[in-house]
Amino acid sequence: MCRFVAYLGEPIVLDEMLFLPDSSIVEQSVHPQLLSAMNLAGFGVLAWDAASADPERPWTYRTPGLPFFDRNLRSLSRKARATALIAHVRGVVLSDREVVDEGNVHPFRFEGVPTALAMNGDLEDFPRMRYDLLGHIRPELARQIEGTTDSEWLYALILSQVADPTAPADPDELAEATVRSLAIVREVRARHGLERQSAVNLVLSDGRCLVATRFAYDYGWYHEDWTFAGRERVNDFTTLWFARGRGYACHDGEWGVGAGRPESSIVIASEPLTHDRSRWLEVPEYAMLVARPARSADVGLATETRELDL
Amino acid sequence: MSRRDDAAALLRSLPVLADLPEDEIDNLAALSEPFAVAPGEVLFEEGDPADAVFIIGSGELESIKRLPGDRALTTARLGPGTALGEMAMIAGVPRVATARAVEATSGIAVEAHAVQQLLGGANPGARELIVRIGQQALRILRSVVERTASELDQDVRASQAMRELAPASSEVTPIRPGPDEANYLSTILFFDRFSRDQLSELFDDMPRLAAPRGTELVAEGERPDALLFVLRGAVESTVHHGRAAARVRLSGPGRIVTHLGVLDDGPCPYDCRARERVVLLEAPVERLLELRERDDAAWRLFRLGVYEDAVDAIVQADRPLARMAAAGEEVRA
Repeated sequence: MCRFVAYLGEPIVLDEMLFLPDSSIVEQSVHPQLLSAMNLAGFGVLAWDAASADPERPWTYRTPGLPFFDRNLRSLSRKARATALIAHVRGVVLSDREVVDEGNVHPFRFEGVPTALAMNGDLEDFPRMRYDLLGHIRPELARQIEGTTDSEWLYALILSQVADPTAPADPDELAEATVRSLAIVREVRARHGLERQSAVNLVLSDGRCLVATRFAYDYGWYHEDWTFAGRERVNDFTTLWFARGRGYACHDGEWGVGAGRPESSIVIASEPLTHDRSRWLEVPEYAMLVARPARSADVGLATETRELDL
Repeated sequence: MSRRDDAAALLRSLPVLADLPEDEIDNLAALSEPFAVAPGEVLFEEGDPADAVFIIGSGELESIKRLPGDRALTTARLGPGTALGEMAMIAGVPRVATARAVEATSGIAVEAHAVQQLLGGANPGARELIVRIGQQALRILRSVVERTASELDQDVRASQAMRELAPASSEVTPIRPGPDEANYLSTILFFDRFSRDQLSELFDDMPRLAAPRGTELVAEGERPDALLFVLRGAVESTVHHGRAAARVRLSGPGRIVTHLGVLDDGPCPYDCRARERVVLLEAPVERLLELRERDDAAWRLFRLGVYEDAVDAIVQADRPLARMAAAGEEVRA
């Protein structure tokens, strides 16, 4: 199972999200709190900096290697700033059918498309579903699929439900496109008789808004061969947490969002970035979180939770 | 009076310990240490290991859940004669809230392993103690659920839209357990604590039920006559207030749906609906009474598992309140 973290808000140095918290995303790649094991298959980060040249275009760092030992990543993250980012640690099942290469590393972003996606989840028997999805994906987007992951296909599927995927994302339209895509996948699963639990925790961003889901098909219908340890039984609905507040900084030795209003930063993560989980909230199961710049204030974010009743 | 006598007197004054034999009270008193905290001082932090049970002799503590952005939710005020930490201890979970002194507060702390030793014993007082801790967990669960319902109309932003009703064709049907059910049960929560023989002895004659997504299993206000265990799929428990609603628990495999309304005196305070197609195991009240009469090792494991699950239900039921508090100003008890 993968781990991701996404951020939107006041400028941060990447180190503050990727390395410095005591359970940062890089630390989670070797010591996840809410997973019993992680079979590492790559790391990627995609970050937007409003003060950079061409601020609409994120910079990208993707490697099939392990972030914990990546000196280039560490060095870069101490200097690079971001007002939005998605970072993802890829975990895979132990199978010789898994393809571990850069093409399968999240986050995914097609050329000419401002919106990127990362996923923490796994669609049951995806090879059986794949070509049923093709009818719902625009050819120009299908042609850009390079890897073998269910996540990249879901990315193309969601973009195909948006009127103009090359335009900056409208958070409401992106949220609706995500819901429609999840409904299409449900229909395809039913057609193939796929009835085992499949988590679909997604995060999408174009650097100005964030859309995230905590969702599973057929929750509670475990795979027959799912031998899982205690932490997976307790956290069997794939976890997603968030914290929002004024800015993001180190407070009394602990990284997190600050007190006060207006709320100007949000962090969404597969699991809290700190061992102390008390300053984080769980995203409800079967829910979507949408964050965007507030309309009524010069600064600040508006965040809402929507039920995914499908 | 010696410090040990003081501790014994305080322990004896607790309703949950009222039936313990004198020698057990003395044993606990010997293993206790006094504590004292000044106003504003923290006794323990949320997330700390539950390594001791604290009993307040005098003063007042407040129980606080921290939230993002340095906000907080005050969940309870606790006065003399209240025990803290016994539920986290039986459920094996860390402290679920921070305890901070409102005024100068003192009492005794009993190490968790001493209480656990007592609970593992066979004397009638210890058995009664765990029942009372469990009943306290159920009271707290009911109060958290009722508080969530009452807060809903104050902050509809954090509540969810009310669901559509289930299709009229949805119904609960009895099914037979599959041939490999015992293997499966031994991998899921609650059931994984029993030996194969105990699984067979406890559950073979209890009905299995199947229901499609959306089926209403228990209506708010109903008094169900059986504990429902989720074997496969998921059930959600939802409280309502006017047009607002909030899910207070999503119960997946190995979770119990109907603690409230079966194991306590009130009606079920939420409706329970199949969120996914679901297979349930039904434990009728009369069967539970039979098992209680037998009072053997399997029943004691069963009972402890039910109370552990009630503590998990409290932790889950707290989540909508925490989201409401994080969205608005501090919510006070």
